[in-house]
Amino acid sequence: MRRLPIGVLACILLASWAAAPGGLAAGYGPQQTVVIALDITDAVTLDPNLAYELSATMADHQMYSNLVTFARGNLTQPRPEVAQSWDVSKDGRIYTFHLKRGIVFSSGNSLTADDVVYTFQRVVSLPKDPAAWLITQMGIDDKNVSSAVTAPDPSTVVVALPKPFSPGAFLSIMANPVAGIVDSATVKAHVVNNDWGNGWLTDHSAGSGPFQLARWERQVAIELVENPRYNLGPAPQVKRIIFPNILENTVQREMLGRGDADVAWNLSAAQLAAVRSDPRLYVVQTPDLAMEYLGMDVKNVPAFAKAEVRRAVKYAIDYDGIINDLLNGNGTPLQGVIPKGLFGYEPTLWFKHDPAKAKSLLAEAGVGAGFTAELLTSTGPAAGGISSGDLAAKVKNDLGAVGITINVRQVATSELLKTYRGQQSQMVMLSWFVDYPDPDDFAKPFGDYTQKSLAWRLQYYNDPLVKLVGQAAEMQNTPERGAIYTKVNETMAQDGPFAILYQPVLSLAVSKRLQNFLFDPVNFIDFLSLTKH
Amino acid sequence: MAGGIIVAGFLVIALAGPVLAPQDPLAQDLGRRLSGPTRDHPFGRDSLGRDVFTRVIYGARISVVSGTAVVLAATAFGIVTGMLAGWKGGWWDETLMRITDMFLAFPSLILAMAISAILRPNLTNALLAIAVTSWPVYARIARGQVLTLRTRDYVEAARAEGATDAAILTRHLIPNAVAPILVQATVDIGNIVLISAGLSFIGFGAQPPTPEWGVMVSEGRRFLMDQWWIATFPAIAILLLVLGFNLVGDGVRDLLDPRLRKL
Amino acid sequence: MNLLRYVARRAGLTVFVIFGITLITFVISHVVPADPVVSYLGEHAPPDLVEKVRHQMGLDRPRHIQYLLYLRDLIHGNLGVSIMDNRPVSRDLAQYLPATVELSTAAMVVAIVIGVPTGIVSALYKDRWPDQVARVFALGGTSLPVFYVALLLLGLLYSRLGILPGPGQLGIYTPPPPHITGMVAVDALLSGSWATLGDALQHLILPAFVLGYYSAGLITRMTRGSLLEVLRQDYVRTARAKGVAEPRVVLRHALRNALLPTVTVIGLTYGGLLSGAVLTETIFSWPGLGRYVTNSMISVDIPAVLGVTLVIALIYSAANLIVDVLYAYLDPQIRYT
Repeated sequence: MRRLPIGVLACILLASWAAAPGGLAAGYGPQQTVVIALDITDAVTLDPNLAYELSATMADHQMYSNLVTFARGNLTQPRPEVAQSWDVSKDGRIYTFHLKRGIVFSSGNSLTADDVVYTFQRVVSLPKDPAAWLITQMGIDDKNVSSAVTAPDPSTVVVALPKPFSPGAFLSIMANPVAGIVDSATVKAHVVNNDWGNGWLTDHSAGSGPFQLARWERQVAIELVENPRYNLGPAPQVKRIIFPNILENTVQREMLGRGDADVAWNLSAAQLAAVRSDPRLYVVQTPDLAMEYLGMDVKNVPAFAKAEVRRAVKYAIDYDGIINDLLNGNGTPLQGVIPKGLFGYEPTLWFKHDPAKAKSLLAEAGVGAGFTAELLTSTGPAAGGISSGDLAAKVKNDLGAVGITINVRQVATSELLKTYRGQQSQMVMLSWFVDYPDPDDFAKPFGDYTQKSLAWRLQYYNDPLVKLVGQAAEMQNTPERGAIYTKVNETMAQDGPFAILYQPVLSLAVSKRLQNFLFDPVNFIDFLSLTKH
Repeated sequence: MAGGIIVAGFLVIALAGPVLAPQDPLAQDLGRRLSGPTRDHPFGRDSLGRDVFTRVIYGARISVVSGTAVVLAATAFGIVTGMLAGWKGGWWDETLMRITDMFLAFPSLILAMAISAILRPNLTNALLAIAVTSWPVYARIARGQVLTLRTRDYVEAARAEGATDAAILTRHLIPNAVAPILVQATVDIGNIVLISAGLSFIGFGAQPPTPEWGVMVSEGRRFLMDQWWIATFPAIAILLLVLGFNLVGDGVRDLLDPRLRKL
Repeated sequence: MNLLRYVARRAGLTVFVIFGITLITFVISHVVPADPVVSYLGEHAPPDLVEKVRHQMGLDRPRHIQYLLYLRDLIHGNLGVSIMDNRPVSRDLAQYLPATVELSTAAMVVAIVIGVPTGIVSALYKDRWPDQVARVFALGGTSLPVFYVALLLLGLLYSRLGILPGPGQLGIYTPPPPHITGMVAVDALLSGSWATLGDALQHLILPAFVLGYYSAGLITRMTRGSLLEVLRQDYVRTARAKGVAEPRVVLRHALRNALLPTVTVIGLTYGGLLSGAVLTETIFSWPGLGRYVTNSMISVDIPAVLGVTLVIALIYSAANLIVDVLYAYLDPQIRYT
């Protein structure tokens, strides 16, 4: 008698097994769905004014529109999106945006200037906001936002910057997901305990982009579906985007191979090479607005106080070996501090791999016998998908060949940052990624120690350089600005404490079912032009 | 006693490592990275062109040495505390046993992860962490043994003769209590190798370029399907070493006391 | 000694142990050479933003004050707010715990279903070839690194052969079942979504097998050992002498007593499963505690580390307590002082 329930259970299980879906779709099928396998565990919130991690900003970019945007491939010239035109005052401090009429949110509410003002208020008022500094660095904070950002009429937004700020940088930031315009009426309706609607907006969407949020299951998947009310452009062919959380890049590759995923995001250089020889897949690449660099603290290691020694290090590195052998070609040479793709990029390669020259420079500086330094790097991957450990081992080899003994210490990123930010490191090996596509986003951290960013962490106090960087910041993209950045790059190369190793190439492995795949490091994938067969 | 042969083999490899190994475990050859098994490189090369065979041999040293060191430390500390608790009884016993309970209330990998994360991830700290998670078991065993043996006749006799507590402990109790501890210890070495490899795999243990087996499997996992040798040979090495110690442990157990089948 | 008093005493001790754990964890996690605020904000955050957020998170108060506040909240059932997630830790745990429980329990079932029969066969055919094969199988389980087995099987059975589905609890296109317990397969069963249940079960096989294989080895050895011991006992010989058929001897008389130590092993291996889950969940992208534990330790998310520590210790202690009680209940000869 006791056998019966067990038997029944077994039958149920077997039956449901047989019925298991092979491609069950809730509405849209695989034909209209793009599946992108990547690691989404970094996502903390999908609230655009608070999100700062890759997976979250990628999703937000599709769900929210901004005043301006960058058209595919051209990151030097902002284009209208919600704003159809804008005027800038002569002193570059007052911006007047004229909004397009008739834009609606996914809820059906109209987009007006009040929504833009509310968005700014949220950015500077939300607590624990990692993205807020993009706006607050302009001098706008929760105390002055109501006078700095105003809406004289429903189609006009006026931003009055409290202090001088680079016009190029300002517009770039306006295109950044942090300035994604939210549906103020909907968000206000969900405010709980003065949280500015953040509790609700964390896993819901209220934007005017081509997609809206279907669901976000933490650690499992982010799913977007088309926003039928989208009217800022033609509707995309793709109706659904799913980002399943796949932690192992080996598994991402396997899913791609079996057709369960259309794009694999985190493949390593070696895996990409294998993908290239697979007839069903192809690799899409774009130079990332980032670089991997070696930092030398000019005070903690006495030898690094001398510019000759810093130059010697730059001559000791085997750049081609790193790019060709370690990265399998997934990197481009870069020695200036502004990456390729931005205004101010400097293609000059001042340093060729020359151990002899390095040794003679060391001798010149009086450390011909060599010296020792500790290289701090993270346990995670380096830019371009190779392991930091491998890269550090290569650097150790290269520097060892000219007499500099390197002790590699791999630590968790959190510890690395604590030491580095505390001016306690000797040498570091890290990457630096773009926030907004203006050369100032790189020149300031690398060159201006008063920002308390990278230059400060390595105790590199160069006042003339600070002046140059400040000058260039306030200019538009003119030949004069270009000339100043040439000087900045030159100074950083010859004197700076940063040995730029390479600029990584962002590579995605894509199924040939996807065509018209446009991809850039700021807007990521262009789903509006993407087609799937 | 196949286990004994395997273990002995590993001991030899560990001791004679650098002599046996054909290459330098850290020497890179980027041009020939990811090449398969050949006569010169029977286990192939890894992602930096290093010889996998050599690295497996060096890894044997690391694993054998680490495993033994940790077990020695854990048993030493565990025996001392366990004996103390069992002999003194009362307040000593209660406190020490509660402390061991605290540690036993933890799955070992997670506790080891926590300690490693705090102390900064490297091989030494990982081993320290594992030792911390291992000693409670020995304390328990030692205490149990003392409780059982303290009522034996020879102990009474010794005490009647006026022998000090310490003397009784060292001369009579420890030698007789050793059996179950030895069994546990041999099996434990294998477990320690596994835990240490697991820690290295998630990044909390030994770091690259150390040729530790866990690190090697972790580094080689991206290449598992195409260049399988990079991760597979270290994994087989782990398997064989742990297997060897498990077999030896079984053998020791059968040898010393066939009635001892409890954990 | 009375069973109830025994349970009460053990429970009380467990509470004491838990508190000790929180203190230890709190102390050592504040000694970590890392800054959780910078972890959360990211590397680009300017120093003034870091200090502002540190204040908003209450991390600039003296350590002992932080601990006392934590204890006070704990007593009220509040585990604090996770730094990396910006959500209450209790919500995080409630979200991720069911997946790990589901996986561990499935692994336990696999381990028992594989381990016990193998152990029995092994004992009955002692020293003949089924015994040898079974012992090799068992030893293999306890000697192989679980992460390697996971990657290998996933690569072979999913990628190369396509027999089993890929990572995750459900297929990409399968809508999740209504949230009842948080365990996907159970929820699918309870809500009658048969297709979803099938998908969930298919996704459960491989991770459960990989995770359970290690325990299966232990259970096999335990069962074999204790069954062999019991088969030598007098009452078994008596039954045989009385002419009782062999299978009945084994099943009715021997097995019941032999399984007692196995029960102990089950309790102990549950803890091992939690450890193994850390590694397995990463490879199978299983949204459970394992991944949460690793992440919170890497980013030094103190409230999360504390919360996870507590929960794991609680589960482990509870499992051990249940096993000990079961043991004491089943075997009247054993009552602990």
